[in-house]
Amino acid sequence: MTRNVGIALASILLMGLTSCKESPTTTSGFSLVIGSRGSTSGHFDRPRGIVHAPTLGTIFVIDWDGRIQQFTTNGHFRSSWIMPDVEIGKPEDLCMSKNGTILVTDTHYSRIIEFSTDGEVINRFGEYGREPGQFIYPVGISCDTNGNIYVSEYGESDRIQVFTANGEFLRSWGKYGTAPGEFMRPSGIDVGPDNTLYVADAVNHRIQVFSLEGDLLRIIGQDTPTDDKPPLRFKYPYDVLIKDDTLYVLEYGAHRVAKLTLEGEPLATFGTPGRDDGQLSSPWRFGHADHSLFVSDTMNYRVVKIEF
Amino acid sequence: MKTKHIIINLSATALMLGALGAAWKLGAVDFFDPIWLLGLAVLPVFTWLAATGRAGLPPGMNTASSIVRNLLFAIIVCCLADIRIMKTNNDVAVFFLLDRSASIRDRDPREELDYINALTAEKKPHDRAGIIVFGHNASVEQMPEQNLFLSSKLHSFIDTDQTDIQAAIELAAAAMPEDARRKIVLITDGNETKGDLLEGIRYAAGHGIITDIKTLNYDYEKEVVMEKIYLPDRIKVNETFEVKVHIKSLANTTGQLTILKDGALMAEQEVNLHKGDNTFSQLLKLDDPGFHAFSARITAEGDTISRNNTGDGYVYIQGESKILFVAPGKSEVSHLMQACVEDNLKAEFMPPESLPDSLAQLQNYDCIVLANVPADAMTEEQMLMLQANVRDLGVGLVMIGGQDSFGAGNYDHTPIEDVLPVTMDIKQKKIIPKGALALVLHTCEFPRGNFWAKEITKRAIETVSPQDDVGVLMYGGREDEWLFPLMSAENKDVMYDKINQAFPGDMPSFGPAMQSAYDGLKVNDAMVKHMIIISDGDPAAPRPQLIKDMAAAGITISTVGINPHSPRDTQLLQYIARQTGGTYYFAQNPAQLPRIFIKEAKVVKRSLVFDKEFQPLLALSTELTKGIQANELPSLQAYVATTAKPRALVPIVSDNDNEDPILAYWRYGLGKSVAFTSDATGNWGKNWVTWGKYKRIWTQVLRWSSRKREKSNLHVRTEMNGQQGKLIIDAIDKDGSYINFLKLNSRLVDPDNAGKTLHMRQTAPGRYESAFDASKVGINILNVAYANPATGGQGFLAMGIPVPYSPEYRRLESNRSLLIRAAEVGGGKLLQGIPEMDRVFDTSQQTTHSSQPIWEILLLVSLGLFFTDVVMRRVIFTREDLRTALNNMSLARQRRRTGDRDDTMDALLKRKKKTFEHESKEAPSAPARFQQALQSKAKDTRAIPDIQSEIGQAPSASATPSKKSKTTKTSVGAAEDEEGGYTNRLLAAKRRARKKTDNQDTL
Repeated sequence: MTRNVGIALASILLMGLTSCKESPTTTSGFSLVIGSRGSTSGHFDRPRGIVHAPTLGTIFVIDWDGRIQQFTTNGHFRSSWIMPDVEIGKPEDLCMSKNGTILVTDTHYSRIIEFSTDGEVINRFGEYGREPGQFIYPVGISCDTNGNIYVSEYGESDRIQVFTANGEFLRSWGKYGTAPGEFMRPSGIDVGPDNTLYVADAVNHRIQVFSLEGDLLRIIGQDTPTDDKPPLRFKYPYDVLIKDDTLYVLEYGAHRVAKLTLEGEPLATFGTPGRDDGQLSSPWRFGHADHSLFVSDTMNYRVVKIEF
Repeated sequence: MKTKHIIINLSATALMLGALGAAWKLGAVDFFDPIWLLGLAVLPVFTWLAATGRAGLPPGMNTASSIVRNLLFAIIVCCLADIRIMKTNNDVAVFFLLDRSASIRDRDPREELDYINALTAEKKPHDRAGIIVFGHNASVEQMPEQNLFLSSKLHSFIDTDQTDIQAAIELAAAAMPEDARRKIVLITDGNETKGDLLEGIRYAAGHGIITDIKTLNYDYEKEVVMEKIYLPDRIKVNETFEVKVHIKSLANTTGQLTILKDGALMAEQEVNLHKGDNTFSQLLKLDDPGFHAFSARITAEGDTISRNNTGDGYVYIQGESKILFVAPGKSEVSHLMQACVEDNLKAEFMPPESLPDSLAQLQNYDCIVLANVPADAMTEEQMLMLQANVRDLGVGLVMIGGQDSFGAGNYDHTPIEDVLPVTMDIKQKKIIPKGALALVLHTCEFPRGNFWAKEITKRAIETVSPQDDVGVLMYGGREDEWLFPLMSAENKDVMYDKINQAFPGDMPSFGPAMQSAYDGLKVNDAMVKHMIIISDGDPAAPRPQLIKDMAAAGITISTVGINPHSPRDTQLLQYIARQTGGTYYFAQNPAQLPRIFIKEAKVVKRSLVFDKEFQPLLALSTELTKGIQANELPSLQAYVATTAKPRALVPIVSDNDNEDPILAYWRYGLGKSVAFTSDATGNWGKNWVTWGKYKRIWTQVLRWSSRKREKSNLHVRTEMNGQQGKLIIDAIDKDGSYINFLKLNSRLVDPDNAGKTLHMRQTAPGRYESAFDASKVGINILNVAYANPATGGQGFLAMGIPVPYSPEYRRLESNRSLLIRAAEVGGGKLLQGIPEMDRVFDTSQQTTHSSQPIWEILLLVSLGLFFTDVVMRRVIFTREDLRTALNNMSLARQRRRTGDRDDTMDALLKRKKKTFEHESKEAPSAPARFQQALQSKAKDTRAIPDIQSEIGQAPSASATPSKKSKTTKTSVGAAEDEEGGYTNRLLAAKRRARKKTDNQDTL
């Protein structure tokens, strides 16, 4: 009897020890974390825009210092350069053009700058103003398969403008407001299949889907709840991304990534507010490479890779 | 048997400790807290106890268990002693220390960064490199990491006005990883102005860190430096004196020398400068008493650094006592100034915006009167200056009331409140209408924005009264964007804690925060509801209707724009302020924010003005109210409520129940201060200005509070040696005899208005000396207070000691000799600046070790040993068990060899089949089995005696077949009756077994 109790106690001790060792592990989330707070290479001061360069197998990340840093998709630092001007503000977003160059919304300088992947300035267009081809705070940028460039801007002219690959103005639509087709701080944009443009209408807490000509097709995130379906609500969606017929929405205010069908049916969410593994803090933009998403976890000063 | 056990056990213990000692001796392990090893001394005691109390274990098992326990105990002791494995480091960690002090001038760091990049390119993959940037302070640009690549920009903020290389080295030594060969590469000009480089190098060497040094060279060809301007400290009116200027030049050149007095041109001349030291002089004469600032400036051809071309000095001309009246308008003090003129007191008027920033400029006045001047009319530096002026320089301060004075003027918790004899906090019994303040913070987009957000928020909260309500909103707070909702400011510490822990984010829209503020303020019972928004202006605008609703609810909103990305960003903030009756501010830099927030927070602060005519009462007859009778004080129309400080004298009080102070005074440091909480104009004091004793009472107040000017027999001078000064005072009486054992009170006020007492030491007959530090750039004011033996009064002597520019600008070449010496002391080398030759990551001659704690692993091992010990003591394996097990294994092997296994299995199967057939024939049907069971149960009681008998005859429990054990349990009671009980029989069996094993051991 005593022997049995002794063995049981020792077993309990061992089990307790085993459980103690395992208890700190939290929800597994990130498959890779890139960078930490800092101003030297490989570190970030609040990362913002991210884009994947498939031909190079790297990603480019903009941060609050106005630096554009290049990393391999495994997180190894490759190179960096700084924006030509950073005194009055820093850029927010970037995308790959059809030609393999990098287009950056130089938000506070009211222009778009085109860089080679080595950081050499190739072209720049846009200036401060409300007229077509001018900008007040260009923030989001994306390209379609024809090479046309789509730019979202906020400030006084909350709208989408479309340019040729050379920066010649083609058309624009939208204005400040809450009605369908209007915007309050349009942020990240992405060109989806079937010639559609998804726009994160951040302060209206919704995603608006347009044809590439500017016709409003549908709104995601402002549906009316029904008995069998709770309402779909975003909190400050800052970026959208289309991948394999799936819509991903990055919610700055909810600190998470939402996964939906292209029609807006919720599939899953990833992330909770915080600083640990699987947690995000005010994420700003994301990009995708192969089967992964790269998220700029802005207030955690890092870029994280998730399989989602 | 015991002896054998003890010998084996002790041998094992000795072996164990010997191995541990040898590992320690050879450096394989180390103990960081070795005092705990004394605990190993109890191991022999354990051994003895184990030998004497074996708890029924076989002797061999007992010995093994004892050894395990000793090992377990030794491991725990080692864990307590913090045992660590020592290992030799092969990787290299290099910290680059880059000098960015002002002596480097505005040199582009790119050359040094490229050099560092080239050096790090040579390192092995596992080597690490980091960088520290230093000047007056040191900042880690990057911790040592395997990847270091520096762009052309450095991000660390450092003060460049001094060079403290020692502090940078000590920071590097502290931040250096332990598990590597460690090296510092110091890149500097060697011109240190603070600390001791060699001391720092020795400190690093003491920690096993080698220091290599790369000299930053710079040479100037035609640089000109203003070394010093020589002026007499004190002169008389119209006395001719000499202004002498010492200029150092690196080449023969020409220049222009300019001398200014109080900013106005006094003299100008072309000068020829020779290589080396040059001296020029100018004779001058002055007729206006007071402190006068002199400045000499040289401009020369070929000179590149302008910061070191100016020299400052001060001259004091003894004159009459003067009183400075500071008020928003002259009408506030016109009656008082008239009274002064009639009483032969010199008076000057100055609006608050003209109040000087320099303490030296205030030395022309012996008393300063603040009449209805709000706190936000002065900067904090000016308040500190006025505080030092009273505390350290003996100048009087008088505050006179008004709508914007005392608490109503927001002087709570200011340096001025500290000086005054009254506090702004009023007694709890007074009823004050409540205000409510909501603060919206969006500050994260300018440098150190969140730091400033916290500072200004705390400052605003500090400003409001405890009765007021305060709430803070920001993005990143709660769902409704409140960091904390409106709550009483009574417990401000709780609010400060929340603010300190806050992390304001980038607010996308003003809407949610303003909506929450509106919801909170709307239902608040405050009389005044105010909101302050600080932002760069780029969040999305709130709904226009919300702004209208807030205006309709009487909520005023003031907005503060800072660091807007473009002028357009401020339009929204201006619009919000305009629509709600608030004020829009544009802050040029964060330093302006505290003042704005204090001013705005004041909006919710209830007026503390008691505006009802009252009769002041003479509560105390003192030197300030001399000649005033109790019943002759005229009535006053209003006053500002305050509370007298415990040590203050309060000659006049209000006639209401509170007996608030109307006139209060006290001594503060070397000076005096007075508070008059009503005003001195025809407004609140309309009956006073026509009163016959108005002049008397006020001149008594002003004369009492003014600094006294005694004729002095003290000769004061200062000698400067670099940043160190020496104050020398010679005291000689009118007969020319030395005055010994004088009690001198000397205070030095530095450019930050911090006062410091200098301890005067008598070094010779009539001579007193004290050393002081004058390293801060700006004007140091030295004040000597002394007791005049002739009059018995206290006199003051003040003088200015300017430090016109940082010593960083005095050096014109690198200090190479110091750096050569430093490289020798640090065991490193002087680098050539050629990466291929310098090879800083080659540290093959250096051997370092690092330690790795292993107590966690050992604790796991000890747990395993504990488990082993439990098994050994509770699961008894005898030799017979072992023998049986071996036999079984041997038999099994033999059967496998001979193929007997199949035969045995066949036999077993045959036997099973036979048994089954037999039982099948005899087995009854199911109902019959049930019937048999009932019969069997009925016969149980009869069967018990037979079974008991069977148990009693059994030699041991193990001899009883298990099939019968159920029945055995039912018969225990009867068996105990029969043979003395079951327990006794078990003990007997145990004794027999033990005897048997003892015999075997003996054999």
